[in-house]
Amino acid sequence: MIKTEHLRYAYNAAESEELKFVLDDIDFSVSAGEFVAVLGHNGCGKSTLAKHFNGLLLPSGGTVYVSGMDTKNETYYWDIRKSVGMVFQNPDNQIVATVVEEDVAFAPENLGVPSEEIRKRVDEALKTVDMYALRRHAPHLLSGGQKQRVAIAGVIAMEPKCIVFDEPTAMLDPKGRREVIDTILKLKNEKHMTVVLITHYMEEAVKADRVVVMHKGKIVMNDVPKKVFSEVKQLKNLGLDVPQVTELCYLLNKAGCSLPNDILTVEECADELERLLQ
Amino acid sequence: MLKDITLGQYFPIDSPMHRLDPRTKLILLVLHIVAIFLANNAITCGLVTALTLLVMLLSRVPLATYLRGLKPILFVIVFTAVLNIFLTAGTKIELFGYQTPMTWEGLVLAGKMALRLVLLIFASAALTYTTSPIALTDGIEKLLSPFAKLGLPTFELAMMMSIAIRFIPTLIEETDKIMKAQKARGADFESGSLIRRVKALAPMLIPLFISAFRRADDLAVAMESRCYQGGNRRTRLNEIHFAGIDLGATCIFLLFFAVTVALRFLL
Amino acid sequence: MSIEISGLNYIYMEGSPFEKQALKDVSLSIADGEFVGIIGHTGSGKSTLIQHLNGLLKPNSGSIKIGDLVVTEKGTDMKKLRQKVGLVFQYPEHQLFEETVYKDISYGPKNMNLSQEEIDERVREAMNCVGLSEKYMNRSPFELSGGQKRRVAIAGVLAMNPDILILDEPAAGLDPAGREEILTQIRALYLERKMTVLFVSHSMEDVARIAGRIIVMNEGTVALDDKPAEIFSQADALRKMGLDVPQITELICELRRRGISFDNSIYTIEKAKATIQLMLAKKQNTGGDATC
Repeated sequence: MIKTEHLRYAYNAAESEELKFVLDDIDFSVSAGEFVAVLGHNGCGKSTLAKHFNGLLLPSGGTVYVSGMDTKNETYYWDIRKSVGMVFQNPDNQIVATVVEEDVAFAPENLGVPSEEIRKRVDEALKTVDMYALRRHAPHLLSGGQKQRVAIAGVIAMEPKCIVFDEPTAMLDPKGRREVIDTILKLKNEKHMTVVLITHYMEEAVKADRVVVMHKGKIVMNDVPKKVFSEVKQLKNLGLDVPQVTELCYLLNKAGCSLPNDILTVEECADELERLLQ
Repeated sequence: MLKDITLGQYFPIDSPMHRLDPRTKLILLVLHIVAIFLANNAITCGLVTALTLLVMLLSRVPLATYLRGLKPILFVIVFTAVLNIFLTAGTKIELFGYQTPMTWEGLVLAGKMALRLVLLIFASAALTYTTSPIALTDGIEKLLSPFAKLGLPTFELAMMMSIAIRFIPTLIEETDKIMKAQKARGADFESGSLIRRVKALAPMLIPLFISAFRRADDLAVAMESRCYQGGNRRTRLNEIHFAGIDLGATCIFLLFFAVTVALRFLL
Repeated sequence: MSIEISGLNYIYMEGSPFEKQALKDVSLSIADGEFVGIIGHTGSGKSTLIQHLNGLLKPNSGSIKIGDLVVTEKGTDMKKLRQKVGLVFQYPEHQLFEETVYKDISYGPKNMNLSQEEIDERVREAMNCVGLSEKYMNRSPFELSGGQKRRVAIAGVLAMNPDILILDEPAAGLDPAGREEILTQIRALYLERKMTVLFVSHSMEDVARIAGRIIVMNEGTVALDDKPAEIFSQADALRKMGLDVPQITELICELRRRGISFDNSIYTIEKAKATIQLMLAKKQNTGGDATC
């Protein structure tokens, strides 16, 4: 679906300064239907990477392919935008219209989709994110989680093959965060969409098929969540958290216990501790 | 405070007024305003009042909402009325045997002016309450479209307007927040000389501008990601159509307008 | 400085269709030098409550006393009150406006009409407190990183030398490392300056780490008010109020449900680890074949 080869990127630095690569030799790929989480602390380059996936940024070196199309090739410009949708951090700053359904209609309107077809797509997208009942509402009166779901519906209505979420929960409260994550999981499981989730919340990354950890513009880990999170020490050194239960098992193991080191959920942890204590 | 302004807010309900083509509503509003200012005697005033009330009734927006919309300009209405009552030449009004500086002619004129202003507000409110900002900008864009051939960027203008409307509540909220934050640092926006007060605004305006630019940046990227490419190939979720209901409304308004004009100049 | 709140009521946008009673009969007393965490989901009234404490909002009824100053009385000197009660808003970096870090931090002290030397002193002290090196003093705050901007903004409030410091979601939007840093700094600040600190958050984990007392707000009222251990032992009640409990609390609940007796006031990883080790040791002594 998306593939990068030796991707490098540098912001236009002043001439005197040395070129600083925000992304340095990134080989990254997402296959169709996969849910990949990109984890890293602020400034590690994960958002810059995300902006390459739909051609908002073009590589300084290397290549990005979206469904085989090179993002640098201008003839694919709109095809790439159409196949990879983006949801951003601040829900307020991506809603264009003053009525929920009109906002959701924005992308298909831009693409020149006929009215009846837009109506169908809008209704369906709003039902998917569970906002259909509020379709006539003014977006500024909605909660953060609801606004973000409207933004997601706006992207779904474009009918992309893949959605890239760029820290969609960073500005939300726990309830809003749960709403958004549930929606993302629904898109993956029921609509079989390809999902890339950029985040610094490990509890969200745990739910992905694969976790990619970035540090200083490079990919440092790339594996299934169980494998990635078992590296408690390395993650901590990178300034990232691990689930509390994973850390607990890690600490107990260090004290001489022999618990599996790939525990991620409360259930798994309870099972193991029950076995140990009884 | 700022949040109390109800004029210009859209009421997301369904009514015959909501179903009208925004272009019809815009043109008829202009026509109606002309009629309001032409009306000069009891019958014509009665006619325009009746039509305004009919429109308000058909909009299904509660009367209380219309009345609240008057609040911001109540002062203007009272002020012009008082000026008219006192400053118009004519027969002085006698009260308890005393002659007052008020005149009967002034009272009539004041009444007429107040009625006009109120009707004007009600009629405009009937438009904004029943037309979503998007439909409104759509309508304006379509009405201006003949000028597009002359090089007027009608689509871009319409887009700018609707985005401005979209971000007004967001920016009001933001202003409130920044004002509070600076007050917590000892800022004083309420006292001192005019120059001092203007200077005191900098800590509020600078963050507000910075935030507005940041939002604009974000929004541009978000719009680009959703394939925004200007106006050429765009379609609409709700295409606006000039339908039977529009024709009906236009006929009613034209009839009222003709009668008002005729009565004004005949009586 | 102590805070005394009694019978506080606040109605939001009274008389409009959006009318909502944001605070219902809230009574609280916070002693001098306490570190209190205030949690609740969005709309629970926690932000409304703290804005009353320095007079930014006026209650419909009820009274607030800060030290000997009755805030709710007419003619209270608001400027004086706001010096005593420092309020750091959510995303405080959005309020920065000056050309240099120094100028921005000195905005508060300047409004207090202090002498230049005093202002200098205050700025230096405040920067020190939040761990900003003095080399940033003449830099533009807008060139700094997100975490640094936030520290400049917090320093701007600290420079007023408040007796009470209120922070609204100081860690919002920061990554784990940034969050850790801010929380550690606030804790250090509290210990060093001996001020009363109110820490508003919707993250139970953050609050659990640093507060000595937790107030849970729900629907405009104080739902719970106790020591962290007591609060966390009521995991079900918390979840019902839309709050997330830490994984460790969930784990303890789950183990108790499975019939393993655990102290339900455990809410940190360290405590859980120590307890489990103790249980294993006990088991070994009684002849079990535990592997630890």
